[in-house]
Amino acid sequence: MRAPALATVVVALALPAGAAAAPARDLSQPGVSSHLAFVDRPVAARSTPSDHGRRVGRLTTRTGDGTSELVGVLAERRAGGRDWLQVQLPTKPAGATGWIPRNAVGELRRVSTWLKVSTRTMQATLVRDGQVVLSVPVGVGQRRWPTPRGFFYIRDRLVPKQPWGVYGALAFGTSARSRVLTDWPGGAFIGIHGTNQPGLLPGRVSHGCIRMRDEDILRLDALMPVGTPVTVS
Amino acid sequence: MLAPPPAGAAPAPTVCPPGTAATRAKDPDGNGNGNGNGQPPTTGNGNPGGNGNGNGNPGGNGNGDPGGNGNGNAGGNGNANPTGTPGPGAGNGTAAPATPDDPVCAPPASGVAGASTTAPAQPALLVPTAGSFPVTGSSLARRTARCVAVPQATRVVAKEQTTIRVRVAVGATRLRGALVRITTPDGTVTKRTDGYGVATFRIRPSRTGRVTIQADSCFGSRVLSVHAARTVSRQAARPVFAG
Repeated sequence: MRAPALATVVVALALPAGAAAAPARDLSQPGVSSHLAFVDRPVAARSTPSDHGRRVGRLTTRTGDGTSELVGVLAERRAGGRDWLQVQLPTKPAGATGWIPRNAVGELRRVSTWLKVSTRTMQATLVRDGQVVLSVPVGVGQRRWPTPRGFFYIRDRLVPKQPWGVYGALAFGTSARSRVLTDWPGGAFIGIHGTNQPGLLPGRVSHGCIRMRDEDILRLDALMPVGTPVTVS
Repeated sequence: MLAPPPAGAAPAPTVCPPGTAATRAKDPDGNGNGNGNGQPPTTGNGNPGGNGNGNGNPGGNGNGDPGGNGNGNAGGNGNANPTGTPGPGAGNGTAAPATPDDPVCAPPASGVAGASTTAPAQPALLVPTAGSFPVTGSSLARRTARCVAVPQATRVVAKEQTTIRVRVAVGATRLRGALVRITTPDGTVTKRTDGYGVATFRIRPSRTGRVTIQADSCFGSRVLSVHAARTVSRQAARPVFAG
């Protein structure tokens, strides 16, 4: 009988000052129902759902690639008379999350896909509505430039100007960033893209990006929308 | 806060003082009447005979134009009550049925007849247009509509569905049955307010531009910008991923 009472006290103390005791609503069920939202105005992400929380990142409305910035939404909570969203951040460290006011983003959009990448088996698997719909071999980062592990999301979709180049026919940008490349142009974001050297796949061949054969990345493009959550294990 | 429900018995007509007009109110029995008074101008020549008008049923409407023409459009049991002031010059009056429980009067628009007529300055135009709207972008539609309220946080983005709840009220009285028009880059949608004075629109503009919101309870408009569509994909890009 004592244990539940103690747990209640601890949870109450963990709430930010002035916050209502509303529980967070989980909005992330990868492969079944995940949510994303576009950023409507620049906003600081906080460590807690409060204006007094520590600042853990900053969101702008555009990505470095010129597309609209979006975030993966993990949870929703009402605190201090305002609605807050816990979102995935495209900032360092890779996989960071933070809380932003609900009114800083547009409507929540739902996706039912989930991309899982295993750096051990070097396979990428796409799940949609709970069913595996695609599984392809991939190339991942070399030992010295490992592909970061964690929970990310697809941030944008780019068609390279030179489809015969190193990025192949298509590239997806993710929210993941290399933990070891610090001076890479554009912030060392990790991409999922095609390749002009398909013979190297599967293998540990990249600077951290996830490479696929061109035909595989085009199949993935037909099945996976932007905003899809990505798990790298 | 809401406009009271219509009474079953015929209400006594509400007569606004000269130079004012009754705002629009719903009276399904069609027994209300209203009147508007022409306002003699200070200068200029206009058609003799000011104008006034009134109407009897909620479907009917009357209006006077700045050219000095009055008309009455009484439907049902209403009556037209032209009370314009004769004489050179211009004036207009606009009337709509009003109930005794909702005697909201407002300053009228000043009509202008003749090229040399100078319109007296009016602080705001709160005259019912009774089912008609000034042309979007015209002088009558350009100023802010005081009877129309739209949430300030409303953000309209091209190619995204946006729900806009428009509240129509005069002072603290929300108007039921008021006609609200939204003009988007793709066209126009018109709806009437519900019992809470709210009309709900769901729009999905295809391109950037403006959304203009008007109500027939007052002149002016509210304008929202349509922001550019989200872009998640780019062609002919030069990725700079870690590779």
